[in-house]
Amino acid sequence: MKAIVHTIYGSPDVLELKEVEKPTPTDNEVLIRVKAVSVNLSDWEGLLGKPLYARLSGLFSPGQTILGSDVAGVVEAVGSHVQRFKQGDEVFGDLVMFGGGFAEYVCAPEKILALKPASLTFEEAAAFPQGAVIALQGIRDKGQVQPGQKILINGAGGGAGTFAVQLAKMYGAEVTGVDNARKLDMLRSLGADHVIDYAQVDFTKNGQRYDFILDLVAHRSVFAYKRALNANGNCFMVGGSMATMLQVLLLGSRIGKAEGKKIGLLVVRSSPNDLLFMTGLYEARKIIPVIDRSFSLSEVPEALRYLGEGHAKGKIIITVEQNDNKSR
Amino acid sequence: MKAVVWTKYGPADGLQLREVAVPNPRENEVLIQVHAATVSRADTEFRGLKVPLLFLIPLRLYLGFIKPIRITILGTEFAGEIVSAGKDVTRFKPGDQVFGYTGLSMGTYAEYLCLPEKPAALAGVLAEKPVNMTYEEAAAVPFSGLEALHSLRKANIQSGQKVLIVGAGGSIGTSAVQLARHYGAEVTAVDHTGKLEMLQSIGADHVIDYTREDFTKNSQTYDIIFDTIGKSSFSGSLRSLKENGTYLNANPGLLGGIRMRWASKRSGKKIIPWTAGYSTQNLLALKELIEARAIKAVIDRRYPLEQIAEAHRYVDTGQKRGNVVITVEHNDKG
Repeated sequence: MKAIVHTIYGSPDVLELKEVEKPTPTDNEVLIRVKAVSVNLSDWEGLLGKPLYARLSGLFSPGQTILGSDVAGVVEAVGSHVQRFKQGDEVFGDLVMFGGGFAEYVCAPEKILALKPASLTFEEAAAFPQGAVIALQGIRDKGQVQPGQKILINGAGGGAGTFAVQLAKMYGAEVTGVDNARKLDMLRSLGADHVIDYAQVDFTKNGQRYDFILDLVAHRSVFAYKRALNANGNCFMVGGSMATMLQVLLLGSRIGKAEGKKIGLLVVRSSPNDLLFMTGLYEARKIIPVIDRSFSLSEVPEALRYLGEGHAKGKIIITVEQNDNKSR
Repeated sequence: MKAVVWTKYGPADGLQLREVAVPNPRENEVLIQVHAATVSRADTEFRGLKVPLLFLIPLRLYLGFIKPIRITILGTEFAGEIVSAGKDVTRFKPGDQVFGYTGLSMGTYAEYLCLPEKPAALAGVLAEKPVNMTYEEAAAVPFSGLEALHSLRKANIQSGQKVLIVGAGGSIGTSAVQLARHYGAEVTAVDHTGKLEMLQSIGADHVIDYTREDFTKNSQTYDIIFDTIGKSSFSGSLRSLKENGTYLNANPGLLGGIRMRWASKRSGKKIIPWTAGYSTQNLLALKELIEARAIKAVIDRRYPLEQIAEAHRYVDTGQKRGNVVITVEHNDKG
C-alpha cells in the first residue's frame, strides 16, 4: 500500500511517498481502508519532533514513521476479539497514540473507534475526531462554560479552535477568538463576539480579563495567563511550547491560588462517545465543521506545511484514493 | 498558467494541456485561483457541439465558426481562492474562498480564471464556499444545485408530495433527490441499475431501474415529475402526473420545448421546459442549504487537470454517478 513515511524528524521535506506493507490487525484491532484523514497540529509536531513531548514515540528518531490520526474509512478486516465492528462498516476516530493514517490502510484498536454517522461524508467525518473532542473537553468539561461568561480562545481559527468557538457560543458565552488576521472574518461568521489579531494585540496585555481561557497554541508564561484571568477564572492549554508546559505543571495550580485562579493542562482523552456527541451537534445543525481545503495523499507534505505555517482556516483534509477505484 | 485548451469541436483528444497567459481581472472582476472544477455532461456536449439545432448557429458565432476561437477553455463549475480583485470589487478580497458557475464564459479547466463580482449577461455567478466542504465537493454543486433548487421552487414543491426524478443519478439528479427530500417530499428516483444503491444512500424513498421498468406504465402518479436529462417520454410523463401536477424538464431540446409549451396551454397540468436561476442570491441560498446539511456533493471520480481528456471520455460513457471532479494542483504554493 502507499503511505507517507518519515524516518527522521524534520521539515516536510523528510516525508516520502512509499510503498509499504499493509498492516495486519491484532486480536482487538480493526483494519481500516482510509477514505479521508485530517491533519492536526499533533502531526506537525510529530513531524518536527518539537516540542519535546512530540518525541514520545522515539527520542532520536520517530517510532511512528507514518503520521496521521484523524481517520475516516471503511472496515476491511477485524481481529478475532473485535465485537463492535464488522467488515464494510464505516468508522472514524482519533488515532493520535498510534498514527498511521497518512496511508491507504491503517490498524486501530476497536475501543477508540466509532461508527461514522451515515449522513456525514468521509471528509466531514475526518474533520471531527481530535479537534472536536479537544474543544468539547476544553469548553464543556474543563471550562464548564456558563451563559454570559467571558471566554477567550487562542488559536481559535484552527481545527480545534473553530469547534471551541461554536461550542462556547452554544453554551451562551461571550467569546473572544485570537488568531491571525486572515482568519478573523471566518471567526466572526462562526459567532465570535470579539476577535484579536495576535500580530497586533497581545491578549494578556490589553487590560481585558476572562473567566475562561482555552489556549490551543500556548507559549506564554504562566504569569501572563494569570494577568488575563478574572478572579476564579481558569485557563487550560492543549499543546504549545515545552517551557510553558513545564511552567504550568510546576506552578499552574499554585500561582493564582489566592484569587481562585487555576492554570492547567488539558490532557485529552480519546473518546468515541464525545466524538459522537459532537457529530450529533452537527446533525442537529448546532455546529459545523469548518473545512479549509483538501489535498491528496501524495500532497501530505504540502498539507502539513500549509498547516504548520498557520494558513489553515479550520481543518485540512487528505482525501485518500485507493488504486482499485481509480480510473484506467 | 496551465490550462486545458479546447482546440476543436469533436472528440476528447482535442482537449490539450498548454501553457497560456494568466488572465487579468477588469475593474469589476476578481482573479480566482482554481483548486477544483468538474466535467459535466454539458461540457462534453459543448466539446462536440452536440447542442439543440436552434443553438448551433448562434453558438458557432459565439465560440468560433470552424473551431473554438473566442472561448478556448471549457468548464463551468469551480471552487477556489480569490487572488486579486479589480478596484470596483466590494464583496470579495484576496484570500476569500469561493465557488461558482461561469455559465457561457466557461474557462474553469485552468489554474486561474476571471469572473465579474456580480452575475453578468452570460450568467457567471460566485459566492463564498460552503464552510463544511472541500474545494472538490464545492465545485460539484453550483450548476446542479442551482438547477435543482430553482426548478423545485418553480414547481412549488411541498412537504408530503410525491416527486419523481428522471436521471436521478446524474449531477442535477443527485442534487434534486436530496433537495426534494429536504423539502419533505416522497422521492422516487429513476436511473439505471448501477446507480440505484447510491440513490438510496442519499435518501431516495423509492428507486426505479429504467432498464427493467417504465415508470409511465406502472399506474403510479406524481405531484412533480422532474426530468433532469430529457430522456423521459413526454406524453407518458403527463399520464403519470396527478391533476394539477407539474412537469419539469431541464433538457427538453428544441422540439420538446415547443411541444411542452403547446401542451401546457391545453392541459391543467403545469409544464416547465427549462429554468435558469443563476443569481448570487440563489447561490447563497444553496450555500446555506449545504451548511444546513440538505445537500451533499456526490463525487464519482476525481482526475487531475492533466487527465481531463480521460475524464471527458468517462463522462461520454454516460456511466457517471453524480459528479466527476477535476483537481488543480498549484506548484507555486506551499
